[in-house]
Amino acid sequence: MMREQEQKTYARLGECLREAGFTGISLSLTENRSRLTAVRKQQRERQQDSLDRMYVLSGSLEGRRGRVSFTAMPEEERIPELVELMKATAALMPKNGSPEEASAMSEDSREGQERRAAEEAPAGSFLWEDHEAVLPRLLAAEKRACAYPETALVENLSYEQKEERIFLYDGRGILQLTDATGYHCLRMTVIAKREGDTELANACRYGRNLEETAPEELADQTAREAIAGLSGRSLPSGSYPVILKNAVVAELLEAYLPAFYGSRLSDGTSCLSGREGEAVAAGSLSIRELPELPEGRVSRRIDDEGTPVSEKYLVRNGLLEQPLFNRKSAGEQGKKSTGNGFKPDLQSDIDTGVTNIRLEAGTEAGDLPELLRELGEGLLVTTVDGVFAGTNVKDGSFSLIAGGRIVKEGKTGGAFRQVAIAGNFFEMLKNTRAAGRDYAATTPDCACVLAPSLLAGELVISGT
Amino acid sequence: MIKETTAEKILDYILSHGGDFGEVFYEDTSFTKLRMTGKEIETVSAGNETGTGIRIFQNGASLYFYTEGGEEETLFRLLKENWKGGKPQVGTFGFASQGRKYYGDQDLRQAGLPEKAALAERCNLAGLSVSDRISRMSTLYTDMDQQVFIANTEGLCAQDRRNKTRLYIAATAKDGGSTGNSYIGPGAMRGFEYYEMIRPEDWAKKAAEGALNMLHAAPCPTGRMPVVIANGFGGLFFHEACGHSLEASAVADGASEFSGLLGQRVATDKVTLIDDGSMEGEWGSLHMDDEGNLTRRNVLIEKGILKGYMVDRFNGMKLGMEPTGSARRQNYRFMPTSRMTNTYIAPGEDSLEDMIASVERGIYVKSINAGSVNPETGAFNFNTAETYLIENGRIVKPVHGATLIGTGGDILKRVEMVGSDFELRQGFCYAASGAVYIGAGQPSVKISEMTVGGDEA
Repeated sequence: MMREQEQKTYARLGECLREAGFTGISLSLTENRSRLTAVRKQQRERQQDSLDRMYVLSGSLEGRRGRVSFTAMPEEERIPELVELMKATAALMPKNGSPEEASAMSEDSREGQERRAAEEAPAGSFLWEDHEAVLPRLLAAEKRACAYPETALVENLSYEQKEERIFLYDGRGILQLTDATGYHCLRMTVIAKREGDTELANACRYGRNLEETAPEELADQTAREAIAGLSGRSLPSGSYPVILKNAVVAELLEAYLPAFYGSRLSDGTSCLSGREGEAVAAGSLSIRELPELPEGRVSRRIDDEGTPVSEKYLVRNGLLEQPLFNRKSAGEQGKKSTGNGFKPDLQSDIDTGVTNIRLEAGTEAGDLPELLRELGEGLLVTTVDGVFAGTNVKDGSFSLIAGGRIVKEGKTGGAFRQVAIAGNFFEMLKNTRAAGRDYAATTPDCACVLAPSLLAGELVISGT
Repeated sequence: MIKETTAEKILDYILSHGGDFGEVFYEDTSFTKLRMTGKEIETVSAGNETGTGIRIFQNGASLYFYTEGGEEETLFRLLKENWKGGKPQVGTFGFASQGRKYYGDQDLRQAGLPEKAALAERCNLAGLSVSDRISRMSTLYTDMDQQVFIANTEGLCAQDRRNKTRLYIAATAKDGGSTGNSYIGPGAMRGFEYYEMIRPEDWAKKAAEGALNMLHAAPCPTGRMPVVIANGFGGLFFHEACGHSLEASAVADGASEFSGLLGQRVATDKVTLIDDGSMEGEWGSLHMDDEGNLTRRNVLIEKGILKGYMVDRFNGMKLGMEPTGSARRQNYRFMPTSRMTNTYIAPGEDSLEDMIASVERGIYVKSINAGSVNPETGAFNFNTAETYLIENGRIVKPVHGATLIGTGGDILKRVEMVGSDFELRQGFCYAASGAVYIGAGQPSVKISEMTVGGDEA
C-alpha cells in the first residue's frame, strides 16, 4: 500500500498529468515479500529476505495510452521528467485503443462490485515461518536423502515463502481494488553417483506451510528417483509408445498455454488458430482454469487490469472452447476480457496470463500402475529438459532431451537417458489413451499448471 | 544514488554484529522496451528501477536482503528484522574506503522514443522488402542505462555505468502451407551510436533470408551423425555444453563433471575456450563485475587442457580460488554468482568448405534458438533453427529444427575441426542469478558425431 509521503507525491503527479491533458489515470502497485532458506552439507547455506515494490502508471492522452513503471515514487522535482516520459510513450501508441481497453483507464468506471473487492481484500493472512524454525526440518530432509549410500550431494534444498499484494489506485490516489496471493514451496535436487555414473532428480512441492510439504518424505522420494536413474543408457532410434509422467505433462502444457491466447489465435501465431470448436485433445481430456483451486499456487480474484478472474474451460471434452483475453486483445475482437490480463513480470506491460490451469481426465483416470499395465511395453518419460527452446507454439511441435524408465510387461525396469523425444503436443493430446490421477504442479518460475501422467501414443525417439 | 555514508553505516553494522563480510549493491537503471510489428507499435515500456541488495557472509553462509530504493531507514529495518547477527561489539569495524573508483562511458549518444521506434520500423520494412513471401517482421528494441554502486567491508567503493542496447528482429515467411521463421539479435554495450556503426537494415534482411531459407524444410533425420555448426551464435553450443559446467557455482563441492580436472585434457587440442567480460563495447561485457572486480580475459580451456574456472567470491571461498571478475546478477533482486560474459571458441585453421565436404551424412546448423544443461551430469540440449541436411559432402536441403543432445565431456573430445571464420553474437542467459546479457561466439566447428533429435519418423 502507498505510504503517506508517496500518496502526497502521487497526488501532485496526478495533478501534473491532468494539467498535461491526461485522462483515465491509474496507478498499480505490486508489493512482493519473500523469504528463502537453503541448506547444503548439513549447514545453512543461503537465506534471503526481501520487500520489493513496483509501480506502473498509465493514462490516456488524446486517446493514446501512455505507460511508465518505476520502483520508487520519484522526488517531487523529477515529476516533470516523468510527465514528459508519459507523453512520449503515449505519442507512440495507436490512437483510441479498444473501447474495452479504454474503459480500464476510466477513473469513474469502477462499479460497486469491484469496489467491494478492495474492502474485502485479505490482509496479513499469509503465514510466515522464521528461518530458524525452518532450518532443522531442511537439515533433517537432507540427512534423509543422504542416508542412501549412492547420494553424493543434495543441492538447492530450499524453502521459499512468497507473498504478492496488488493495489490499484485511480488518478486521485483512491484505492479501487486490491488482491493478494502467495505460496510456500520446497525444492531440492539430489545427485546420485555409482561406479563413475551420475544421475540427478529434481523435486518441488507446495503447501500452506513447511509441514504440509513433508520435507523428509520428499527427500526420500527424490533420492530414490535419482538412484533409480543410475546406469541409464541411450536407446535405439525409432517410434516408441510412451507414458509421460505428471510433471513432464505439466511442464509441456505450461509451454503451450500461449496457444490459447486470443491475440495469438487471431494473428495466426498459435497452432490452434482457426480451430475453435474442433477436437484438439482426446474426448476424455479437458483443460480448465480454476482461480480458486485449493492445490493451485495462485489465488487471485482480479487480474492485473482489475477484471475479475473466472473459472473456464480452455478445452472441454477434447474440444477447443475458450480463448484467453486481456482487455486489449478482447477489445480488438469486440469481446470482453476473460480476466486474463497479467504482467509476465514486474517490469513488463500487461500480456495474457492465467491463474491455475488443470488438465483433467474425467472419470476414466487411473493410477500410474494401471497406466503402466495398459502400456505393456514402452517408455515412462520421467524428465525432459530444453522445454524453453524446444517447444514451438506456432506449430505445436517439440523436440526435447528426455530420460526415464523402460517399461516391460507393464512394469518399470532399467533407466534410459540421453535420448531426444519429438512430436506434436496437441496431436499427442488427441492420441492420449488414458490418464492418471497423480497430479503434479509446475515450479514457481512459470505459470501454475497441474497435470496427471498420460499414456500418450507413440513419439519419435532419437538415440543411438 | 545511495549515500556513501549509508553504505558505510550498513557495513559497519554488519561487521560489528558478527558478519564476516558485508557488501552493499545499489543500482539505478533506466530502460526502454519497444516492440513493433510491421509499422504498428505493439508495446512500449519505459521506466526506472532503483534498488539495493545487502549481502553478508557469516559462518560459511551467504545471506541476502533486498528492497527497492536506497533509503537508510528502510534498509536498516529490513536488515534488523531479518538478520539475527551476533552480539553488538563496540569499536570501529567498518569500511575504510580506498577511494571511489568510476568506470563506464559517460558520453554516449542518447535517443528519444520516436527515434527508437523509427529504427524498429526501418528494420521491419527492410525485412519485408526482401520478398513478398515475408509475411511478418517484428522488432523488439531494448536499451538500459544501469548505474551501479558497490561497497564492501574490504574497502571497495566503486561505481560502474553500463549502457546496453539491442535489437531482436524476428521474421516469418509463408509460401502456400509452409512457414519459415528466423531471428537475429545484434546488440552492444554502447549508446544509440551503435546503430550508426552497424547497418540495422542488413541485419533485418539476414533474418528475412533465414526465414525464407526454411520454407518447405523437410523432416530432420534422427540418430547419431556428424554435425557442423556455423560461426557466430553457434558459440552458444559451447556455452551450454561446457560453459555452465565451468562456473564455480557448479564446480564447488565436486558437483560439475569438470570438478577437479584442472590441468587435465578435457577436449581435443582444437579447442581453446575463453570467457572475456572486458571486450570493449561488447554486449556481454561489464567494466567491473557485480562484486566490483574488474572483468578480464579468462582462458578456460587451452588446446584441450582445462586451465581455469569462472569464479565468484562465495564459491571461490569454497574452492580456495580468487574471483575472476565473473560475478553477475540480473539486478538488485539477485545475489551475484559466477556466470559467463562473452564466451567463445578461439579461431583455428580449418575451412567451412572442408568441414561440409568431409561429411557423408549429417547436418549443418546455420543458426540456433537456445539450449540448457545440467552441469552435474553434463547433459545438455541445444535447439537448432536454420538447419540443413548434408549428404556426400554437399548441403542438399533445409530440414526442420532439431534438438542436439550430449554431455559436455563427451562432445569436447569430438571437436574434429575448427574454422578461422570467427564471429561473436549476442543473447541472454537465464540461470540462478537471473537473466544476464551474454556474448557467444565461435568460428565454424565440426563435431565428429553426436545425437540429433529430429522429427523424421
